[in-house]
Amino acid sequence: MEREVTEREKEQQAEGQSLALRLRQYQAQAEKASQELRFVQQAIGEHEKAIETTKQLKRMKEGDELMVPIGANSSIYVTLSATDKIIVQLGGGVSAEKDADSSIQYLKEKKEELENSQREMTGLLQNLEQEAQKLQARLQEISSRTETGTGTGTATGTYKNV
Amino acid sequence: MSGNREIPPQVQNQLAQLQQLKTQIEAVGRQKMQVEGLLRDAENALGELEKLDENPVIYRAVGELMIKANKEDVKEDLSEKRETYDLRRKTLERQEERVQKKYQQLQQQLQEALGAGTQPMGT
Repeated sequence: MEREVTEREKEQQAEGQSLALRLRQYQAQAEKASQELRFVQQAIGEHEKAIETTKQLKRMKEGDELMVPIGANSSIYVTLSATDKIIVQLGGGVSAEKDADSSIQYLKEKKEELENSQREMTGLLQNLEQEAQKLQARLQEISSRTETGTGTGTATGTYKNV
Repeated sequence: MSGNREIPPQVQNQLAQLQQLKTQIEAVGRQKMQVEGLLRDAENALGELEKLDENPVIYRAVGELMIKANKEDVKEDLSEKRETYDLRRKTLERQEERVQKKYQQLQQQLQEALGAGTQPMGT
């Protein structure tokens, strides 16, 4: 009888260790996905800003004075020489001149692509969280069983800090 | 009794090797992701260039500067970049497979060694 209990304990400990490892992997994946999601959200914000700026630019006329930020909350005065020429980045270190409407259209398309990525990433993150919760619940179950079953509770510490 | 639970030096060495291989797999994976990003970027730019009018005003980034460039020159440059990135991606893929295989082999050896308790490893 005593031998049987030891074997069960061993099995539970092995399962607990395996679950703890998987949980750590999920947590690492979730951390990475959250970081990527923040980058995507930031990029969406930048696109919104660029679209709004281009829209405002359409209302201005050549010769109007503007203040352009140069960093560290400082700006310089510039005179607008063209209101219908926007330089947008195409990728690969290449940029092209477009008129205001084409630029807005282009930026909107890029923003939509980013929003799709955002949705995918959010879904992935939710799945990871659900899986992690299931693992956590199973770990707690094993942990409490170890505590009540044998009274030793030696494995509990291993799982609590994951 | 406690002496039986000590990890033999050979196994310790293999564990260190396993850790190194894991670090290598992660590094190659990161490099591959970077190259894939650059490849996608170049492909997107080529696609966007095709959509432009016949005589578009194009700029190429040179450090902090933007220098006016010819569409055909830019296309040629981007196509070359795409080929280079594609080649690098394939090389990294092969490297990743090789390291992954080594990792799996070593992992199996270790599992066998640890499963056999303190018996010396036959490999």
